[in-house]
Amino acid sequence: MVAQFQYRSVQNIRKNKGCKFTMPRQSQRSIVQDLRPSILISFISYAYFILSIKIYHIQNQLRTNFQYLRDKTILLCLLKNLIIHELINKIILIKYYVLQELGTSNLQDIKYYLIKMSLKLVSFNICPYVLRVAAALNFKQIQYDIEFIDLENKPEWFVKASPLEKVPILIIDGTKVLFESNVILDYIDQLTPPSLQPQDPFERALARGKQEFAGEVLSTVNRLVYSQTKDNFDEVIADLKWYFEKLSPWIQHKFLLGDEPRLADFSFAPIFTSLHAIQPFLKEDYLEKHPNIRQYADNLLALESVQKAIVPQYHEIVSQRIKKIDGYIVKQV
Amino acid sequence: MSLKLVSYNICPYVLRVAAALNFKQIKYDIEFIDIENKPEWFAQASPLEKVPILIVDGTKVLFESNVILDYIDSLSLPSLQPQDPFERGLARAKQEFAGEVPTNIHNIIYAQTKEKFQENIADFNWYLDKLSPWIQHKFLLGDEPRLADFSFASIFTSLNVIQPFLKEDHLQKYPNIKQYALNLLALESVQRAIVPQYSELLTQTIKTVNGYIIRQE
Repeated sequence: MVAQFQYRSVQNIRKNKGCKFTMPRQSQRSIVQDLRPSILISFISYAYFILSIKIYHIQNQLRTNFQYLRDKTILLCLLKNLIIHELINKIILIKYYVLQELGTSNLQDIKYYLIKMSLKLVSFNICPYVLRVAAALNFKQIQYDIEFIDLENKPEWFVKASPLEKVPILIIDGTKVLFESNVILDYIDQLTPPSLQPQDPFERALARGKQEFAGEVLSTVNRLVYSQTKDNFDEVIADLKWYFEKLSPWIQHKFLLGDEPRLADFSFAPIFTSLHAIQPFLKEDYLEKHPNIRQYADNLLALESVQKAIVPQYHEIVSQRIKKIDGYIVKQV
Repeated sequence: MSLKLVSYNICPYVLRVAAALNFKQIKYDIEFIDIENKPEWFAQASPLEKVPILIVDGTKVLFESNVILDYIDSLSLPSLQPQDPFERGLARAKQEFAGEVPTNIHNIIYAQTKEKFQENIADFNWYLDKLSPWIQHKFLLGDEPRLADFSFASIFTSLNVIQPFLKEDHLQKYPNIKQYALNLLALESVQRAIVPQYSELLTQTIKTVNGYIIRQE
């Protein structure tokens, strides 16, 4: 169902101007990124310098005292041990430095900073699935480029790059392409610490199950716009109410898993950004029965990372599209 | 740790989980329910009243077949997912893709009008077209079955049963997919996950629904 919306949306998407902008660098991270090449260069130079001195000393010793050490194999073995010893010393120093800067020296955690990685998010301006990824990237303060495309007029490169011709796709280092918003969310989560997924495998699986559920709710909200007949529309409304009934027991805190936003919350956010934009056309407030969900929606929309992920003129663009589709939602009395 | 898989006998999403559990040689109980007549305890246990659900240690309930697959993969070594985060992301994305096809097949069976039927058949061909470049080896990621393969298995178990009702052999254009389907169906873990009478049950359902697929000239 989720994908059918994305597949069908080819038919009814309003044209838009593509635009490209880059998220501003976060100053906190730029320090480490600027120092990255320097760290490497310093390390290499220093190691080389120290090794040169050591090799020189050994050569002297060989010449004067230990004739038998001219044996090549013994010499190579000594050198190898020396290099390893020096490398270990340098690694210890670097780890210490990184620990000071980033609060972690776990290689998995810091690899994002050590390995230059470019991320490009390919998007359609009002696509709710893209919003999930953009909001999470913002929250994790991961740098990325964003490129908007017109789903009604897909550019050549997009059709080639995206296996299923859907947005969002994440292009990593220019060549590797990931698709499916929930999968992209998990991928970006492991790029930097701390992880926004629970550590325990069961809790993590439960959170991911709820993310899939969020996709169904999102799809239902979208169907509100496309329903052409009263019967169909009423059916969608009934579904939506059922989904909110199911969601309600899960909302016990400020966010889904506690008082801090976690990855699953970003899966839910676009439900409420879309609903917000569609609400003027609806006769009823479906969150009235569920004050906890309403509060949750407000908490999500209040997040800066979610706000930054919403394109300017979002409400206007959505309204225009709803009118253009001219479904039952517009015609109902 | 006790695992109970709650199932509906011809549900393709359950088959994925059962096949993976078999392949990983993890012990589990299976309980079948009638999806038309859900028992009280099921409506309470399953948050979304769908199958499959996995009941862990009698009280903890997991839902969504792809999520359950990843969870059971974490229960024993070796892992059936790639280690590299990107490769793992790609495999999982393909699993999500695989999840759309049983829905499509369901729509093919339930389509009442010619237009709907042909629309869904066209979708099916589109899916096969997108799948084809991914099948370069015996299985999806190489010569050994991985987690993603179990996601795809249920597509071909259903297709086998529906094929007699379809006018054309959609796999004819894609010999690699045809071979992949055979490789999957040959796996013992997949065979054991298929309930006895599977063919008869599914055929019965198709006839009961009496969609366009039966009535077409």
